[in-house]
Amino acid sequence: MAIGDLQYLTLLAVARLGDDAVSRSIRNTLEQVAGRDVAVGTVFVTLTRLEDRGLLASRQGDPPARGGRAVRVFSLTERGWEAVREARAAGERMWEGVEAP
Amino acid sequence: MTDVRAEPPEEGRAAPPAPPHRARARLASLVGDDAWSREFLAELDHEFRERVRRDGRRAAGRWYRIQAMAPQTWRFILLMKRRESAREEGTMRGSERSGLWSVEGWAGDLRQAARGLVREWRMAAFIVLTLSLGIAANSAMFGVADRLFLAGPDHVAEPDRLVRFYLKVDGAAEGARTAPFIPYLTADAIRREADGIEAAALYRNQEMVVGFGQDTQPLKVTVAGEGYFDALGVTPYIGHFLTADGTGAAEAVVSHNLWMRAFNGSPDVLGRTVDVGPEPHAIVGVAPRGFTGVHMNPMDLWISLPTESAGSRNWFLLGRLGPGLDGDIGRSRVSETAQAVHARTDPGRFFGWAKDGVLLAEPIGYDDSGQPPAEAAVARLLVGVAGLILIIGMANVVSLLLARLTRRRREVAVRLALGSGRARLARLLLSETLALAAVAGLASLPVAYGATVLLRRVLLPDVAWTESPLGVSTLLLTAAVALVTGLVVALLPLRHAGRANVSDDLRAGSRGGGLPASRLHLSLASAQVMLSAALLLGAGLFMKSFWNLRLTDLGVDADKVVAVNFRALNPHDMEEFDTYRRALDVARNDPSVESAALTLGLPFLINFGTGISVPGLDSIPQLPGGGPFFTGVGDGYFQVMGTQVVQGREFTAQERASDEPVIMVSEAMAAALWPGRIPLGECVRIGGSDSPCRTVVGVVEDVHRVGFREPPSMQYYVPLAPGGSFGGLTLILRARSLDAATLARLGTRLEDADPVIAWADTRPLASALDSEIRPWYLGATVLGMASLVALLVSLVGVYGVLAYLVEQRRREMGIRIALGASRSGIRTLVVTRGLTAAGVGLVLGLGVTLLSRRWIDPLLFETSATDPVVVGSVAGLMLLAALAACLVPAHRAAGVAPAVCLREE
Repeated sequence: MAIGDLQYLTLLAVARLGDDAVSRSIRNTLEQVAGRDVAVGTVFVTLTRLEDRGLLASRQGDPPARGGRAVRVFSLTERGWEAVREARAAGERMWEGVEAP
Repeated sequence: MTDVRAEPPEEGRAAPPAPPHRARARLASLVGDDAWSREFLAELDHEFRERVRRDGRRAAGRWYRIQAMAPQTWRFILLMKRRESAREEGTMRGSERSGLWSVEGWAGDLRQAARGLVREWRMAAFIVLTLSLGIAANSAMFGVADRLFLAGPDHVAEPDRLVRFYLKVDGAAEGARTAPFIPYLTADAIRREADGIEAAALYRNQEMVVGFGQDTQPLKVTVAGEGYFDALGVTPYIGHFLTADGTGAAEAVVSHNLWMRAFNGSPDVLGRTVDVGPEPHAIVGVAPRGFTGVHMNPMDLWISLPTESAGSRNWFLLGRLGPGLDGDIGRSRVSETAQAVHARTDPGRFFGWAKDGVLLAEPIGYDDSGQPPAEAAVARLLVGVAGLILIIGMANVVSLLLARLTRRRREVAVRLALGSGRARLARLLLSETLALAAVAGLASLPVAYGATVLLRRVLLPDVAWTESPLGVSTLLLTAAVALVTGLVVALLPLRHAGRANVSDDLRAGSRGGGLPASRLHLSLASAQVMLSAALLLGAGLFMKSFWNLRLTDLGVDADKVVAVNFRALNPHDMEEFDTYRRALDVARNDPSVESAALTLGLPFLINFGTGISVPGLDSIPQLPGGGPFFTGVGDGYFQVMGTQVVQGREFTAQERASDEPVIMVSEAMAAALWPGRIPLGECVRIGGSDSPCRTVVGVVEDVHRVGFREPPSMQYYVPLAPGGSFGGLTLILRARSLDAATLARLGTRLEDADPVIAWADTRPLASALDSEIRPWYLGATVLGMASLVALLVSLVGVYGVLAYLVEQRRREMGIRIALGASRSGIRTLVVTRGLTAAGVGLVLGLGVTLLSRRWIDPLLFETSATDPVVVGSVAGLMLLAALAACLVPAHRAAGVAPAVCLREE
């Protein structure tokens, strides 16, 4: 299943964060780890599309102890893992024979 | 709809900074109610707070507004909508699902529209104010026009089938005129014999002294002939109407108003007696409330016609057209049959002047000269003015709504993309405009009430009003005008929205609209200025007319003279000269009276005319104003009236006492009879050539006898002789003060001068001109107020358009400044744009008014629509005002910081 560059990074961010995979931390991870400054709306659109394609699943998390709103927690589905692996493999195959300056 | 409020603060901590309210509220209205969408809003809030800490509130606010309209935001909203649609098996939520014409759908859209308008309450308030003024003006005008044109006299059945008969007389000594009176023989014959009339009646309105027990007062009385009430189709409130035709006891019917006032509304009024003059009349009935006969003036009493004296007098004659006859054709037929009857009768026995007259049947609303009343022309003008104010208001509102629509392009595009359909969008737009118009309609009611009360007092003070200023018909009209307004102002925005390109608008910013849109807005502003210019010019011309009126030399000092008419219980008692002499003495001894005199005949009130002959002239030349009119003048007459004697002298005391055959003539008469010669010493015979010769001893300046607009007429003066009088004399005074208290006190003193005087009616001579002045006075004040309101609204329109265009083109202004344009150059650019729009409107408005000269000039007095002073003043005032409206937007445009506005997008 083909996924775009931002979708690939988002899936990886969800995989890294585990139970802490909420929209804010996903966005922070993309910025700090991948170096991508992504707008709030873009993150939400990407997460929604990935969920609609069945690559992510979400559940409503517990409300925080000190009060506030419960947020949605994401996790990769089987199809999501498969998509990530395929994208990684495709990237590695493309690197073969490339000599970086 | 998602809660628009931001997160509450944690306990013990200060409230976090909130994002821009309007942007957040708009966004919240578009996102769904689900948790994920709420989380999206919360994330934006969180990011906003981070940016406030980092970059400051202003930068954070700008960021938020951009994010709220950003393409990724719209994509998210679309995705969530699709999810929802898929989850709910393809249906859309709430009112989006319901049919276009469903009540639920309209209710939902009206609620949404109301919420949107509350958010933009300043714009909504301005729209409501602008529209309410226009709606109120139309409601007030309708109430007046309804009374004058549509409703007809109260309680009269089918008033459009009633006619009044007039006698048009040409070539008599008095000149051409149309008289509302018909000699009795003719009138009675027409009543009984003319074809095409199913009912007719003689009548006469006059003021008579009426006694109720100890109290006497002058009342307005109609002397009504047989069949009067039947011809009008009216039924009594209690009792019955006049039955006798001069036989049996004299009867009276009292008006409802008089019944309540003088008899406390008691049913035992029937059978009681009132003394009308010396004659007791038994009250047989009470007229219904508001009934005034065929005229709109209040009437107190109707009494039966005394046939023994009827033949010697003139009468009004009314008739009801027979079956199959109506309109101009019906009236024309009836005029012919009445004329045939007139030709067979011999009115010349008493009234030679009527012999060659032509009978005309005219609608009952016409005035005593057989013409539509002057108030009707002014009322038509005012209805037009009211319509113009509403149109100007609508143009302003349309411009505002279009600007608002441009700001909301993305929102509109999203709704279309979500499958709303253009029809549903139209319903939403219509809900907004109808809601605005409904509120404006309600807001207009108190204004309409006040305006109606004011108009009734100023325009129709002599009309008996029975309906409330906000009657049922006015309320219905207000609702109808509000509905039409709400529909009309939606038309252009609907057309604009219908042409929206969804993909372009999704990508575009809230700025946009480009050249065609700005041209549209400027055109709307020009249209408003055009209409305001026309109104302002009209006001200026009426004011000039009114001013010219005041400056007109009437030949008499009408504003300083008081005319006193006396009434006695028995009219014959007032034929004694000594009675008047005693009143004159009392007047001359009163400290508030400068001078006093007696007169037979009085300008603007009583005009007498007889034929004359002059030795050496085969015929008397006719002047356009007619004549010759004569006045019998007592000593001091010319001083009281302020009329100049330009040649010769006044009559001496000796000439008065011995009734010597002397005469004074007017300048126009002297010039007509003895051109190029001094008329002093010439001979004039009053009546036929065998009458004694009267010697001209003096020439008097021309005096207006009827009104302001008057061509020269022949006038002469003879000494007032104590021995003879007919029709009653008038006492004239030059008083030091003309206030109501002084006049009332004088009246009381004069009533005490002689026991036979029951009532002394003191009124300024100038009041006789009130009805002639009133249209111009009214036109000047109402047009003046209306044009100022229209000017204000249209200038706000110019300001609004310029402010909108500057806002739309901030980036362009920033670029210009960055590229080296001076700020004064930017200011000039904006001001030029604004003045051009205003200038185009001004030229069109003045042009339309000038082209309508043919219809406007007859309404004016000694000025025309091309009056350079008025036109120049109006043009100057409007350009100055337009300049003022341009200044703030120009200043804002010049103050744009290029770096900031270039960064924003």
